[in-house]
This record gives sequence, structure tokens and C-alpha cells, in this order.
Amino acid sequence: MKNKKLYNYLPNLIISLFLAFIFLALSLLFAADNIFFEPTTYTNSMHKIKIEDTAFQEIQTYSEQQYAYTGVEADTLKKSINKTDVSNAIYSYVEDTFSYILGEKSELPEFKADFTLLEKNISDDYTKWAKKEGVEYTQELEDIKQKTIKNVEQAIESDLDVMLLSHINKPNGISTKLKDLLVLARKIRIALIATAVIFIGVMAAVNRKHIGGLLYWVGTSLFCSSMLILVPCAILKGTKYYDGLAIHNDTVYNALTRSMYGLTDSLIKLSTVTLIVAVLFMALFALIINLTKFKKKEKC
Amino acid sequence: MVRKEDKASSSDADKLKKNKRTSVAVMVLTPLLVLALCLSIMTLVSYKKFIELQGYAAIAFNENAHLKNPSEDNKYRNADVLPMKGLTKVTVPDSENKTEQHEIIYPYYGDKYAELTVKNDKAGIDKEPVYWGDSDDLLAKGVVQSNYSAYIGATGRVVLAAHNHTYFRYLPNILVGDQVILKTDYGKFTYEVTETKVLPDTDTSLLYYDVTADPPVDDLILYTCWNNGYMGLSDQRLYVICKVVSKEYKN
Repeated sequence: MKNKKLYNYLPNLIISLFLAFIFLALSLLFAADNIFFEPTTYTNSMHKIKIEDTAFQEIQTYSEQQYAYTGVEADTLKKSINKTDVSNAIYSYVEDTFSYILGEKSELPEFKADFTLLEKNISDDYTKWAKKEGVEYTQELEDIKQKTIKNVEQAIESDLDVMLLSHINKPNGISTKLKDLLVLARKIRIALIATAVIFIGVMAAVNRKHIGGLLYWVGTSLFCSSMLILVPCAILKGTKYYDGLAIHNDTVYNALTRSMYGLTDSLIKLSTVTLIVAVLFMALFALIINLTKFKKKEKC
Repeated sequence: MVRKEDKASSSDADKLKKNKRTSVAVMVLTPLLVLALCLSIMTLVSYKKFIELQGYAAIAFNENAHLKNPSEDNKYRNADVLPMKGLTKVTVPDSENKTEQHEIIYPYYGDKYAELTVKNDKAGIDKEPVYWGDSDDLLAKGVVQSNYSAYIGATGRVVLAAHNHTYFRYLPNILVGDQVILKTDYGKFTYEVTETKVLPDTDTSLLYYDVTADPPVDDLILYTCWNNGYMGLSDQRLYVICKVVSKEYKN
């Protein structure tokens, strides 16, 4: 007497293969909306390593160094920017960028660092300098001042742009393309869900006489889709792959690597949940099989 | 005596056990089979793209390329490392292309390897340290030498720079005819200022020279930002061009 537990093996295998790819695509699309482009994935990771403190320190160092070629006193800059300003500027830019990509904001993100105090302090310095040197405050001096202020602001913004997001936030840049892609991806997701339902329906029809098999094969598909994400992420994390990022600037390096590890951790969590669901389905199938066997024995 | 029915039922029981084991093995291995099939399909479909992406990833994530700061991370120097010395052919000043061989001690990136003095008090340059390399942290410490320029003492153009609010603050006070002296561990080199020029920052022609020129280029350039004494950034550069007067080598 054959003790067959998996009926219609080949048709189920083929459908399960298709379902695995559909579940993989759906997982990645889910991850795109809730992990890849979710600002908190990055802001939480960066906050853990207090990236705002490192960026603030860089600005302090820049304040010292810039004196050598601008003549603006280091203290003028240092008293114009505080840690709260730095923290707000960093995190609001990250949030605005990903909110834009997710479609929650329609305007291209811009840096929101408040330079009012900085401009005032540098202007005061110029006025004092002109008085001290007996130099007439001409348009030429005003032009030099404006150029200097602009250069200082750009340098500080560069220090605050810890994830190098300004490179993607250009008109028709990468962030705009990602935004459009995400809109398309959401449409694809609906199509994929419909396809998944159809395939599961077909699988249910194939397993209509032994409906427990449906749980097993869906579990198999979920198992494959979870492993296809879990294993590469685990390897990337385990081998500390992101530590090799070729970036000279320490703050940017730490922000980007920490964000990538945070992203990888989130993907690992997602795929672990999927794996647990898969194992549960298979365990349920095993339970059903055993209950069926028990009932048959009782009838006998 | 064993009855036929007992034999038959025991054979059935063995078959049942075998089938049970087979079906459990199939149930356990099937997910792995589906996973292997998925991986095979993905490899077939996207292998070329994967190799291309791997090339980019190898550039972006390259442990060897991750330099935090060239002058700190360049493990070029420890106390036990002997200086790099070499013999180099140098053109004898005022000699119609006569050359001699002398020893030069080659600096490592970040080394302080010379002292710069201008014989004009108003220029405010007296035994200022000269560093090999031109990063921001070296500019904060002294005068820097671009490592695309010639070594001090060798034939070629030596290019030294410093910020206009620190070490070269009073460079605009330098006059034609002033003496400029560079002292190193391997010799003393004297120059004379022949010309000063102010050029836009986009014009870097004086920073480079033709190594094949005949007669060979052999001079010194001091340069800094220049904005007519005003505080702030400048889009002009002041160049002080000096000709070789004498080269005194220790070896």
C-alpha cells in the first residue's frame, strides 16, 4: 500500500516554482514601499551611531580650516551653527528625499539648513574688518562677501549631506526616476497579486481532493522566496561587505554603511517572517496529514 | 511455523516503512529542489547582468580603496623605515645644459622635508616648513609642495603653495630680485624672484611644465590665492616665479 502524502507532484512543483517568483517579486515590492524608501530605515540607523555629532564635529573642523583661505574667523562660523540645527538639517533632508520618492511630497527636496545667523555673523565680520582696515565698503567687497558666504554655505551643506542625496535630487535625477518607477511598481504589484491568486486557485484545484497539500506547496513557495532574500542578506551582513565602501569622508562612510546595514537588517527580518510563515504552513500540512491518518485508523 | 498471512503482512509493513521514509524525504527535499530550480533559472536569466553589476560593486566596495585620509592612512612611514635616497641628474645652473649627479632624499607623503625662507622681512616667510603633498591638513601645517612638481634640487619646476591668510599672507609684499632659499636634508637651493603674476584661478598653466623642454625648465613657483588684500574668497591666484641661482648638495 503506497503511503503517498504529496499528490499530483509535478503540476504542484511547476505551479510552486511560479509562485516562488511571484512571492519574491511581491516581497521586494513590499520592501520597496516599507523598507527601501522608508526614511526611518535610514534615520534610525544613523541615529544609533549619532551621525549628527560626527557631522557637527566636521563643521567645527571646517570652521577652523576655512579661515586660512577666506579670512573669516573660525568662531564666527562656530557660533552660527549648533547641534540641533545640524541634526534637523540632516534628518529632514533624508525624510524629504524618501517622502518625495514615495510620492508623499511633490516638490524636489532641498536642503533646509537655516543660514540666517551665519550670514548675519559673516556680514558683521566684514563690516568690522572694513572699519579696522580703513577699507571703503564697495560693491567689490560686497561681491566677495556674497561669494564667500555662498562657498561657506555650500561647504556646510556638503558636510550635512551625509548620504550624498544631493547627487540624486537633481531635476530629472535619480530620485525622480525612482519615484516614477515606484508608481509603476505599485501597478505591477496589483497585477502580481492577481496572478498569485490565480495560481493559488489553480493549485487549490489541483489539490482539491487533498486540500492539505495546498498548504505544503504554498509553504514551499514562501520558503524559496524568503531564502532568496535571506541568504544573500545574511552573507552581506556576515562578511561585512559594506565595510569596503570606497568613500574617503568618515561621516559619509559611516552614514552610508550604517544605512546599508540597517536596510539589510530590515530585509532579513522581513524574509525571516516569511520563512516562519512558510514553516508554519508546512507544519500545518504535517498536522493535517497526521490527523487524517489518525481518523483513518479510528475508522478502521 | 510462520504463516503465509504473517509473512505477507510483515512484508507490507516493511514496504509501508520504506514508503513512509521516502515520502518524508520527498517532503523535506522538495522545498530545496524548488529553491535550486529558482536559483538555476535566475542564474540563466541574469548571469551577464550580475557579472556587470559585480564589476561596479567591486569598485564601490573595495577594501583597498577605502582611504580615510591619505596622509594618515598612507602607512608610508614608520620610525624604522630608512629614507628613500636616489641619485638624480641635475642641470648645473648657468652652465649651458651641463648636468651632474647628486643624491636626493625622496620624501614620503606628509613628510616635512624642507624649510622656506624669503630674504625680505615684509614677505613674512622665515624657515617655514614645507610638506610633501597638498591635502587640507598639510595646508593647515605649513607650505605644501604639489607632488606633481619636481623634487627640490632636481631639474624641473618646484611648485609650493600655502593659504593667503596663513603662511603666504604677506607673499604679495615679495619683490623682484628677492632671494628665496629652500633647505633640505640633502642640500640648500637658492632662487631669485624674477616675476610676479596674478592669474584667474582657472588658468593653471604655470603649475605645469614641459619635461622635454630644451633647455630644461628649472625654476620655483610660489603661489597662493589673491584678492587684493580683501577678506574672503578669491578667484585669482598670485604666482611668484623664481629662477635658480645656486644648488648646493651634500652628496
